[in-house]
Amino acid sequence: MCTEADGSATVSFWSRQRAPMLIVSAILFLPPLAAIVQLTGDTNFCGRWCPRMFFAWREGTTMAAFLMGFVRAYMGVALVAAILVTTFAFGRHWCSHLCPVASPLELGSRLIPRGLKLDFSSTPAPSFRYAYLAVYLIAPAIGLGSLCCNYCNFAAVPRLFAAPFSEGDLIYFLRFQGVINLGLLLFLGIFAKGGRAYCNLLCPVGALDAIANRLGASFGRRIRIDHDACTNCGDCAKVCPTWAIDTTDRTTIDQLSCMPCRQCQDVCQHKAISYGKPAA
Amino acid sequence: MKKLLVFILAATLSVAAAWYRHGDSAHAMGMISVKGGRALHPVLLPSGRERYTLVVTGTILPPYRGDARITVDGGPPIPVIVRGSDPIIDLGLRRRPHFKDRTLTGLKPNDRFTVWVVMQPTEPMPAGKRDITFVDTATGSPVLTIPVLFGGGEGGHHVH
Repeated sequence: MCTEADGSATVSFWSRQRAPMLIVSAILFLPPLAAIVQLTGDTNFCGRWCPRMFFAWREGTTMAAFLMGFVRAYMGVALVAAILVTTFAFGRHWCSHLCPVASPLELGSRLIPRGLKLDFSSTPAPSFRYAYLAVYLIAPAIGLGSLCCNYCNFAAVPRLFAAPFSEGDLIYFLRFQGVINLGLLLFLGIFAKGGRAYCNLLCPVGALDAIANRLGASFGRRIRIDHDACTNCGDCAKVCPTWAIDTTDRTTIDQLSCMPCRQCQDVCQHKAISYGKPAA
Repeated sequence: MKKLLVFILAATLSVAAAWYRHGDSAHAMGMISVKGGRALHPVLLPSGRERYTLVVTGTILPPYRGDARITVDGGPPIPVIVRGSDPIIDLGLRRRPHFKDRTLTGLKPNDRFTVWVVMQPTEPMPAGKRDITFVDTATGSPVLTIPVLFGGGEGGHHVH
């Protein structure tokens, strides 16, 4: 955490409130309550709230059918649009503070002993992520198959919470595909250091959000480094859940992976990291 | 160089994951209507297994209103479990169809539904065709029929 001149520690409001916000989001969006999705008569993110399927074109789909997908998933469309617009201006706060499907993965990972955690930080996340996104978009368009519903965090996480109460949701996991999804959530989520490997590698919404984050980096508010104050100590890189910080030569933040969780800001002894607009 | 290799590896894994289908499950989409409905996805599953899970999602086309019972027809009878997707804690914020005893109740135009159909043949499933049929309980007429084709080998891709 940051240290004041008098030696007292400070943690920013948005950092302090991140876990509570993630918990509230999970309660509001995920079963057993799922109050937000019940506003439209749904029980989970499948259907009107699906944020992943509408932008994946399938071979043989007519333009009318493609556009009907936007209508069918109108809440998912609105959600993704809101995420991208707010990210462009303010950074990826959806991912860091609000995403209900990331919430149990990251918070769950905090309960796992450090020795059991898997460290994926040597993987160049954007390379993996955009290869996955490319196949996610191209494979159905050329009739090669689909990653859309078969490997879906927005389908699997809500059902993970619903399964103890509902046989319909338990059935989801009693299939090979369900077991694979569960394995991915555990392997890349709860047992991953930082709990965000699934988000960082396999979430198509996160991948689009990261592009908006990168495109708006020259204008919007982002986590930034003051290179005059930075000593390249590397403390920030050690706590980054999305391994977005590179300290190889001098400390840099990859805005294609960064979300404003502010953990780096909190640990920086030199106040070299802050959230804000680019320097004039 | 490492970034390029990771990109190629991830693309290869992703293509394999998109292409390959485990034969125990599939997703079907359909539209219930008074004229018999329309299945949007052909469902192809490999024969020879002893458990299949099919998630069926769909919408209700106007002017259909009513209750629809779900059956699996064709071939020798097999044990079938059908489960709905009602909220665990129903806050009653919006009217929605409900599911009970294999029947979707209170269906109205533009409603959406999700049901899980688990087929558990006591013998390995032979090749052939079965139909998942939604029957209007008032008239006995089918309002949606989804053909499920069993045959062919394991894996490979089928439509979504």
